[in-house]
Amino acid sequence: MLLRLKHRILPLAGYEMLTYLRGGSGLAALVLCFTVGMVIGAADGATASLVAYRLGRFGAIGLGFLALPLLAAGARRDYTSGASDVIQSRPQQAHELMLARWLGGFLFLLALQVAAAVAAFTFLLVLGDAPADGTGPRASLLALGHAIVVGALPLLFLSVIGYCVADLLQNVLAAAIIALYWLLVLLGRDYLSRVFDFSLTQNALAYVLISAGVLFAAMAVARYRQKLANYRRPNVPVLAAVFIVAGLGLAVRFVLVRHDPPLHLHPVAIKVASQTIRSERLPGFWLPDQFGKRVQLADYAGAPLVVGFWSPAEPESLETLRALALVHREYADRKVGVIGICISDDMWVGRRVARERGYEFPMVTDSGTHWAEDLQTASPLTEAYEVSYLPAVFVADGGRNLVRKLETVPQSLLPAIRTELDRLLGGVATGAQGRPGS
Amino acid sequence: MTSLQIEVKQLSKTYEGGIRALQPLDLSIGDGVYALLGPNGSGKTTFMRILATLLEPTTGTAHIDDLDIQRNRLEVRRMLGYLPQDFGLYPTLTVAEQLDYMAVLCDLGSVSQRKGAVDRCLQQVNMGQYANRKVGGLSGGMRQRLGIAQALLNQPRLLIIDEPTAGLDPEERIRIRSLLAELGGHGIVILSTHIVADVEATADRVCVLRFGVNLFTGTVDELVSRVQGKVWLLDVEPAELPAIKEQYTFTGVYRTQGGLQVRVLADEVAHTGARQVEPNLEDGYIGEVERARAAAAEA
Repeated sequence: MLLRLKHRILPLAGYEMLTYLRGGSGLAALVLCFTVGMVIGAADGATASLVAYRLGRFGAIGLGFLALPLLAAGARRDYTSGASDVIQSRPQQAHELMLARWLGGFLFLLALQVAAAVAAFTFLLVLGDAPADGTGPRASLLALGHAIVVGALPLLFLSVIGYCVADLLQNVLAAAIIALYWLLVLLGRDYLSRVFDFSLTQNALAYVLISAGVLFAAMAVARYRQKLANYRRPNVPVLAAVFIVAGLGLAVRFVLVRHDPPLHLHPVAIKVASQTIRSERLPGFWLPDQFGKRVQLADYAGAPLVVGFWSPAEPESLETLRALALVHREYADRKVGVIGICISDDMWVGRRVARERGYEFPMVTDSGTHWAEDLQTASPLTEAYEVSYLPAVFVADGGRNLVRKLETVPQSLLPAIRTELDRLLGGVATGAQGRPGS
Repeated sequence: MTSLQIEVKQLSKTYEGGIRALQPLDLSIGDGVYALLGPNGSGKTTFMRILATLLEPTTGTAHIDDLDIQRNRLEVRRMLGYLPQDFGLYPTLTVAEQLDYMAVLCDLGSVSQRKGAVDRCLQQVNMGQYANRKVGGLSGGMRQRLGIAQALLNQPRLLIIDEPTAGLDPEERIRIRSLLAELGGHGIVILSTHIVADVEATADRVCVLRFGVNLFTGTVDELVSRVQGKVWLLDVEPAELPAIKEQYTFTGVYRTQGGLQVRVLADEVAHTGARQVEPNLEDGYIGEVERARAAAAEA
């Protein structure tokens, strides 16, 4: 087996990868990914966690959709190039050739993800600020590995399905079915959409097993079609069956046992969402911050309050964080409360960013965030606060009564908050001395 | 190396839709160059693809020594080198990389073993200096030579080559003919062509096919001798040509000073200046095809 891996599968996979890389579209994809990585890494206010989050999304969505047509075309290359007879007349084993070719294609996609990640983190290390939590470049390297793994998971599934379905159905358009599936998962808001989302690390094991099962099943069919004398040996079909049964079993278990119901459908989340800011009082919540402490509006009774929304998927909203940090520092002696609310389905990215940047004001993540067509319905708090675009900042008085909702251009955010707070604090013209953000 | 023997019995192929590409065929093929001669659509490629284990016959069997080609595809492919008529390769790979790719498929072993095989084949087809050139940038002749090189990687005892000289310039054609003649001494080379000169230059035995029917099997000399005494050369005026065309089977027309020289097949020729000449393979081939056509017309 090892000899076959060394002398057949790996050399063929290497050539397959070379074929993708040397093709005009492959090279263009590599340059594009490197450029996207540069943009992500050089973005204003980028941190290792933010870069990792965005690279993960880029891998799952951008590269995911690229993977399907690319691998499907690779599966049909012999027929389109006319090399079919030359290849088939060789004493190769069709299932090994199939494995090698898929592996080459997957490695190429991984190379694209790595190119984007390396570009992003290189720019981050050169241009970005050092993390405030003292982790230094180590944090970036860990996040780099995380970004590559998170991006690789959906690529694994999509490349297997794209390649195998195109090969089995002998039609590159078969990949369109998978693209449709992925689109439905991305747009889906219901409970099952989280189980069917193969880009989520919590589903990784199930989808890795299903991918392996599909790959082995396709290999078994390829070997059967080749009709060599040994095609009746059952090892490949048995492996396929084992992987598929294990993967599907795990997925069913996720549905029945392990998966939490979607948090945005939880009664508490529904209650949160049903609050309305039109009552002129800030809608309440009770969520953990980056220090693990539960935060609620009642903690700030009697003090003016600034609540700012941001999202790692929305680069412009990072200005909210900068403004909140400055306001927190400037008005610390006036007991002004500041709360950052992260809108993300990743429960950790908001906390990591707060730690990396050394924010002392509480940063909470709306745990009911989910994929939605518009921001206002993407989380219970955006629904309650009627946030339809970011950045959005709310200034309230000591009785939680809304003084001003600020949905303005990022550059005007800080002066607008200061104006409202100064007015609220009794017409005092300045907050703290020497405003660095002015 | 022991000699190889192919035995074909009642081999036929009918494609979907009822197209009979090959009528039941019996052949016995030994070492040397064996040429399949016939017009387009005569079943040559179908027969070759069946022997190359790429196509299943509708009826009949083919054995290479004791191996049934349908039941022992892997073993047959291990001794086989195959070059189809229209073949594509991977344009972004270099010549050496493409050959190494094929060497991996031939299961030739380690990197050094594969490299040895690649170098040997490049030498055989005289392409050593193009090893690092991209396949997509090769001329038609060089592509054809690369195709032959890939067929030779596993030192095949059975080499099946479909129309190897089609579309090549005269120099390339001569180079490939001499290579094939050389290879015929090391096993069986089955060559399909409709270029009679290729057969004349390389083949030991010939099979003439038409509409999937075997019209003739034998040596080149035997095919030629079948039209012995029936080949005539006529000096004619251009105006006479249509009438002569109606009357006789042409095997060649040549321009001479002040007129035309026509080569025809006939038992007797009623034309002044007609002289009998020695037949060649083209005459023999056309004689067989015409005989079959006449028989079909009568039937």
